[in-house]
Amino acid sequence: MVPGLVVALLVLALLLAVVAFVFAALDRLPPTVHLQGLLLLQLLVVVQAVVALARLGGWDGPVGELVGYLAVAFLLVPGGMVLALEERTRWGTAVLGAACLVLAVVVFRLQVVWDAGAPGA
Amino acid sequence: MPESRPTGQPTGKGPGRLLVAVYATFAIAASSRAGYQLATKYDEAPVAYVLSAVAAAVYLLATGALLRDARRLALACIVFELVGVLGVGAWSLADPARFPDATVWSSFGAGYGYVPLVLPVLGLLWLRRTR
Repeated sequence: MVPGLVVALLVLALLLAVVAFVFAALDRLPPTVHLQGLLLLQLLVVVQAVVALARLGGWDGPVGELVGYLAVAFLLVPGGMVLALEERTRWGTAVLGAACLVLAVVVFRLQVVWDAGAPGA
Repeated sequence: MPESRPTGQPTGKGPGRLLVAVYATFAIAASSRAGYQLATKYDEAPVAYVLSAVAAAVYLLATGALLRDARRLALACIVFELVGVLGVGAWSLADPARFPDATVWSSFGAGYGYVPLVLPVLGLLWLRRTR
């Protein structure tokens, strides 16, 4: 896929996860910039999905598995937000942190799956 | 979770919300995995894939039950899940030929950082705490 995009996704996801867990530990709600970071993260997830789907033609791997990972990646941050919305406590913040952490794992797995089916692999 | 008197709190509030989030994650992960496996390569490892689908259904039910404070359903799901991860974990080690491909519960959930093994224990502790 696009190596720079994957690195940006991983760094941003892990950073937002750490910030969320720190604020949860301090029992404070994170600042607005954290929410903006989550929206940017979701935008990157969408861009990654569009790029991956656009390049499927030259890719020789398990398409179902790839699309599954893309779909899970797409659901994580919005799902975390829905669960955190009515739980405006440290636990809701921790949910957001967990969603970001799992997203980082999914993005990593996505890259492994992609590399296995890339031309020349 | 420190020892304290039961709180009577709804199971989907407070710390329970984080538990719901982790269950929801496993519900999505197990469902997509099972759906993909059953649709594309059922014949390769039918036992493993059907068990994946059972695990997915249990995680989905447990997520909904915890979120809606349906305690008996949550308890049933979590006990089933604990028995499942222990049973399938032991079975997958004793008879690896049946499991050429992994399920969420193979090798006690090692492929998922043993979270599938820890999760039902946390779930039972949480249900007891919020009784």
